[in-house]
Amino acid sequence: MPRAVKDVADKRNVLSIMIGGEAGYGIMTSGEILARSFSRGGLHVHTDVEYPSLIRGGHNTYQVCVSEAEVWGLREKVDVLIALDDLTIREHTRELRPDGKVLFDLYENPIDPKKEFPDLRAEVVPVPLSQIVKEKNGDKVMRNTVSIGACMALIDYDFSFLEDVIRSTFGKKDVEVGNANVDAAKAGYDYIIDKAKCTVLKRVSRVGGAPRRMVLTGNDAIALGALQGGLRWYSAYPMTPASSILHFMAANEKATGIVVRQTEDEIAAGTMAIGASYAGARAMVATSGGGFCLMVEGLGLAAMTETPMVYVLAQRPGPSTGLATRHEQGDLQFALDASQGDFVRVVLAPGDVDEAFHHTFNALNLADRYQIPVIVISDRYLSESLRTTLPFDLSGKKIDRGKLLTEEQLAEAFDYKRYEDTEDGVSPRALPGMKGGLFVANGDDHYETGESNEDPDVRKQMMDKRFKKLKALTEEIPGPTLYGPPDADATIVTWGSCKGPCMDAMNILLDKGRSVNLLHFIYLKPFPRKLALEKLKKARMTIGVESNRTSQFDRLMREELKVSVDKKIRKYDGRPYFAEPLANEIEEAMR
Amino acid sequence: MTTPEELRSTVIPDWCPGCGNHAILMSVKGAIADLGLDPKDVVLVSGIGCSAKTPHYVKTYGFHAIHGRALPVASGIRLANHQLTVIAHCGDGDCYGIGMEHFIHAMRRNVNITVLVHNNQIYGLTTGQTSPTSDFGFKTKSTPGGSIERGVMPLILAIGSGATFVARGFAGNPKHLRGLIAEGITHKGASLIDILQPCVTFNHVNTFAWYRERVYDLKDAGHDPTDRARAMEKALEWGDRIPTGVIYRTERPPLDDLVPALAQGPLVKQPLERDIRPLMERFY
Repeated sequence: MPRAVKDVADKRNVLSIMIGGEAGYGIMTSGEILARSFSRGGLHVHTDVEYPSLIRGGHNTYQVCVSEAEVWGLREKVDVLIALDDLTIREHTRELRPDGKVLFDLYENPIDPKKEFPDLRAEVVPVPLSQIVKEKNGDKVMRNTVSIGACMALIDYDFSFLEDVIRSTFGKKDVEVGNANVDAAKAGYDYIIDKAKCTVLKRVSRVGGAPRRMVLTGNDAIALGALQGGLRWYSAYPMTPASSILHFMAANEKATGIVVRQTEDEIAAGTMAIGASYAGARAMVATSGGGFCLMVEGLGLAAMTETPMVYVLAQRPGPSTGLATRHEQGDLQFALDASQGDFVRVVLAPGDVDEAFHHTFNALNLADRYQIPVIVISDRYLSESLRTTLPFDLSGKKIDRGKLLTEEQLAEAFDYKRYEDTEDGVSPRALPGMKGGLFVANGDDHYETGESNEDPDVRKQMMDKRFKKLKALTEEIPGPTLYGPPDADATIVTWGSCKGPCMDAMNILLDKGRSVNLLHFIYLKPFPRKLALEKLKKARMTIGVESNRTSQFDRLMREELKVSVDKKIRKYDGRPYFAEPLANEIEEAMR
Repeated sequence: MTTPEELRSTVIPDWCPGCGNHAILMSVKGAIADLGLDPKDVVLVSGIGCSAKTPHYVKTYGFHAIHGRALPVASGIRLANHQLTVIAHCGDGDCYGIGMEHFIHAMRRNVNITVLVHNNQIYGLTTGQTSPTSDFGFKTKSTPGGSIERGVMPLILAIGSGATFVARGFAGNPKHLRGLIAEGITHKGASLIDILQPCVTFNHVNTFAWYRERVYDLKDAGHDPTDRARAMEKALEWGDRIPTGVIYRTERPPLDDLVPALAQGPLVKQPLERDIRPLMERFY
């Protein structure tokens, strides 16, 4: 094998690897193993998975973008394509760089790549995946393990990291399975070193002395944030892309002592959680847009009964079933105003895994402190992409249950009223089982006691009472964060998970010498008007970036600030943004 | 010891005079008193409709929720604090119409809650439309030519769904009903008590007199509620003779006993702080 030469010496270089094939080939596991192997070598990783809504067959891909510098999202171009079938080459020829590599089992599928794929410029590196598996007496599904071993040799990355990760992935339950997979990967690695006649694509090297980083998805981070926040109840009905939260919670039900229930539908998931929360358990539910539709009647109930609730809304393209396994940020306007009637709620949308952890934790506190529903918006991209991040900072994470009374405090209260009209609108809260706190939580509008009441003055008073919460809430809602140079010709304005691609695009443009920065919003309702205006005042030109057809965030800005962004970039093809084309679009908009 | 009188709240019932709900209210208060339950440990949960007003009239904790959703709310309350006695009040539309899905799953799930269905075979609060339990041919504002659908049979449905306690009461026999409710509360697992509750304003067919002519007590008839085949026969009996009392009873661990977290005591009494570092360790 030829000598390893790093093609470009730039730290910002991103190596993009894609593994593709039919569902059931073990593609997701392989992608995750690759990601962890790079992370253990001190590199930054961002991945994404693309899959249609079916169980076997179809065409699945897993993309791993890896860099010595922080990488925030996906690249459009692919450097190494691990093709477990020829369809993968056909589908991704366009994305392959001319100097890229295709790992493919030409021995099992003796085709003429030049004839089959006339547009293919990348080099096809034939690896006898099936034959190696057969020699190892392995299962056909192990072809992907051989292929990722070969990939490591092709990019000249230390095999030891891969070996480590394979052992911890497969070897935990069965040492033999771990060993067999390490053997298979090593055979693929050795094949490239000893037999392949190809050049090496060296773009990243292990980084010595790097801090230990976690590799996890947005859903993992949401689950961890909730558990750190004292979550006691989780109920859900399975729905992509929220389901992995249910899986995580169920797998850790015993270890964490939470109650996890899969219910008959999202109506039950939501209202059961409301019951649990009313009884005093911190409760969260998660779903996607379709399931959220069903949860909305409960959302209003939580608001009217002032029962703390956290809803995770992991978006996917709608309306209706839309694209069940794809990406979009199309439910913002729905979340902002879902349910009949007016009430105070929080809507927030973390931009990355670290924010998903911290702001889910905060969501539980806000729900308790203000006795309101809080909606945490994620999407297919944030929920299912893996990203490297520093261990979550757990310092100063204090659980705040707001005005929840103890039995002793209740004993001292004279004439306790659950919905007492207080100065800040938040009423002291008793729980069933407490002496002296008897009340009826009521979805009908009611007087301070909870008793139904239709008197016009009482209705007005109680509506105003609930809206008083807005004052303190608005004061504590964090404003948007500015990334990049404080002063720039153009400011990218975005929200939620678009943060990642926008960070990448900004960095690409800054490297090119363009003057651009980025303003990212997490908290959307109540809208941080003052803080947003302060930041936007300094912007010379604003370019909005979001993943939906109608610029839903821009509509919110117009409503709240009476200003619109100068230029709008939108994407609604079911796929997330890729860094390079987004950078081009932003540059175009800056002209 | 709490007396039924002490369980009376300051809110005065606004049901129609003569409504079957008054007897149900009296019976539930009686059952709570008979069992010596502390009002602070009792939660009455309801959906929407005339039946849903019940929690306001009893001096315990309460949750007046939304149409059809009393059972998931009640299940959530009970699982979050299984030291509470949770009694759901639903109507026939509430439980067998809009909330039918939850009804079936609550029965199979067998959470330790008591479900009282105020079944008057009509939509009362919305001023008289057909209900899921209305008989074929029943004339209402929404079925002026008579209903062309047959009514559901909630008791057989409950048994088929895996219910462990299925009974029928009659608002015209509050003493009997009081005993049934107490039995339902004592039963370990979900218990259904379907209550024949004449609506004196909108249902002029299924009146107190109509029922009195037909109801009989299963106990007097020597019915063995542990015999499922016989229970199913009785659950299907409707027309000239209508059985009341415990139709079916069996033992199966309630969900409360099977949820791992509850083995350490009520969920709400467990500490909130936890160390998630071991969980984080899995992500390297």
